[in-house]
Amino acid sequence: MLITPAIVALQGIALSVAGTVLLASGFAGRILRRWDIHSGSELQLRMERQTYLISTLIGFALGAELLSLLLFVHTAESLSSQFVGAMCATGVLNVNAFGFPTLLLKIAVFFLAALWLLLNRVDNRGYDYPLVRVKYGLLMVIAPLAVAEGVVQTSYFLGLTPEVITSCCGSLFSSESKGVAAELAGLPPWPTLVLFYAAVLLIAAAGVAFLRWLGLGPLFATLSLLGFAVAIAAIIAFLSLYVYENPNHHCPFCLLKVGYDYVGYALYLPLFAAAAMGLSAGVIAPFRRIASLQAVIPGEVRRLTALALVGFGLFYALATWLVLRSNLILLG
Amino acid sequence: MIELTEVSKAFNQGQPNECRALRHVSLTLERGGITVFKGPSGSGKTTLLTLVGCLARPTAGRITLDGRLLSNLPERFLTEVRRHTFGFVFQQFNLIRGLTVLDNVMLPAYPLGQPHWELVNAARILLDRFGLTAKATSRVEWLSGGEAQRTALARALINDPAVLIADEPTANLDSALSREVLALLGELATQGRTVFISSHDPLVFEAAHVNRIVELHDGQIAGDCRC
Repeated sequence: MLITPAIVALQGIALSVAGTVLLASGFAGRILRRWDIHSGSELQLRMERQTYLISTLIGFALGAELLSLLLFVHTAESLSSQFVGAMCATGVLNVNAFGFPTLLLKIAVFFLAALWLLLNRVDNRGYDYPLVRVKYGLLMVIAPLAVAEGVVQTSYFLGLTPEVITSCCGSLFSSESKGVAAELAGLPPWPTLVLFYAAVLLIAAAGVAFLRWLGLGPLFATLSLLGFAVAIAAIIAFLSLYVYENPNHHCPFCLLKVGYDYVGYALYLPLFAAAAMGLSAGVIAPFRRIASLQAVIPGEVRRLTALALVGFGLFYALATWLVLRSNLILLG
Repeated sequence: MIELTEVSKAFNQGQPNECRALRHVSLTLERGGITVFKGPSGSGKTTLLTLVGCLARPTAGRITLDGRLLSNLPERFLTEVRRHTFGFVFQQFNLIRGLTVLDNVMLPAYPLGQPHWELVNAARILLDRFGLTAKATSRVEWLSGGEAQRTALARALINDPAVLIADEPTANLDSALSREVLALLGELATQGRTVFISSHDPLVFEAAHVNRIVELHDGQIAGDCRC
C-alpha cells in the first residue's frame, strides 16, 4: 500500500463519513418509524432536539464527501508516475479491481450527498421540520453506499502496490477494447455532437420553463442527470480528441494533466455542480406545497435552477471553445 | 392565548440526580392582566415561566401561543418569537456590569437592526417613564436596588413585547420598592400587556392589579384562583 498525505486524508474522510452515516442511520430509522410532529411525548421532543446535532454532523460529513471526489481524482492523477504503464489516473485506477468501482461509488454518493445537503438546507428553514422524514429516508439510501465506498476504497488503496504493471488509458478508452469505456470511445462523433448540443438546448429550455412553472421539477431533474451522462459520453467520444488533437486519444482523465492546462478541472467542476444543483432543484420543487415551505422553496428552487443553468452554460462554453480552437479536423 | 398541555420538565434526565421540576401541567393563560405563579422554592414557578417564555424547552408536552405550536419550533424561529413576544425581568436583574443604564436598556433590541438613533430615542422614552433619565449614563453597578429593577423593566420593554415575564421581581427589594415595582407592573397591565409574575412574596399576590393566582406545588398545579 502506498501512503501519501492525500491517501491518508481520503481514508480519513471515507471512514469518518461511513461511520457517521452508519451511526446516524439508527437515528434515521427511529425518525422514520416514530416521528410525529403532533405528539408532545418525551421521545418526540428528544428526537426534535437530537435532529439538530445529527443533521449538523451529517452536513459536515457529506460536505467533506463532496470534496473527497475531487481529491480522489486528483490523487489518482498525481500517482500516475508511481506505476509502470500508467500515463494518467486511468492507469492508477486500473492497478486493481477496486479503482473504478471506488470512483463510481464516489460519484453516486456525491450526487446523493449534494441532494441531502440541499434538502437539509430547505428543511432547516421550515418551522415544523417539514422534510425531516425525506432527508432521513435519503440518508438510509446514502448509508450503505457510503459504507460500500469506504470498504471498496480501503481495498483499493491496500492493493496499490508499486510493482503492479498496469495498463494505460490508450487500451481502456479505445474503440477496439471491450466494456463501457470502449463503447463510449467508439461512439460516432457526428451523432454524439448532435446529441451533445441537443441535450443543452433541452436542458436550457426545460430550465427556463422550470423557472416559470415549478411543476416541471421532475423533468428538469431527469434532464440534468441525462445531460451529465451525455456530457461525459461526449468528453470521451469527441471532446477529448479535440483537446489532445489526436483522433485516437479518448481518455477523460488526461484532461486533468498540466500538459493540457488542467482543463479537465474547468470542465468537470461546473458540470458536476450543475448536474447536482439541477437534480436537487427538481427533487425539492414538489415540496413547495407544504405550508411552512411555501415562502422558501420557490426562491430556493429558482436560485438552484439558475445556478445549474450557469454551470451547464460554463461547461458548454468551454467545451465549444476547446473544439473551435483545436487544430484537429475531426468532422469535415 | 398561551396554552400548556401535559407539560413536564426534567433536569439531568436519566442521571441519578434527575429532577422533575414540572409534572404534566396543563394550563390556559389568557391575554391581558396580571397572573401570579405562587408557591414555595422548588415548586416549579421559574421553570414554568422559562418554558412559557421560550427560554427552555419542555421534556414532554406542548405549548402553543395563539394556536401556534411553540415548544417544537427550531431555535431560529423560537428566537424570533422570544424577541417579539416576551420581555423578561430576572430575579437578579441580570444587568450587564460595565455598561451604562442606556446601553443595558438598548441591548435586547440590537439584533433587530433598527437605526441607532431610533433605538436611543425609544430607550430614553422608557427611562423617562421609569424616572431614570438622570441615570442614563451611569454604570449599572452604581444603581440602587430599586433603580436596577426599574432599569431591568425598561430593558424588558424595549422590544415592545406583548407579554412581560417577571421572575421574583420583588425578591431583592424592600416593601416600599416592591410596591413601587408592583404599581409599575399594574400600570403595564392596564395598558394592555400581559404580565406573568412568579413570586412567593405575599405583597405580590395581594396586590390590587392581580387578576389570577396559579399555585404550584412539587411541579404540579395546586390551585388556580381568579381574583
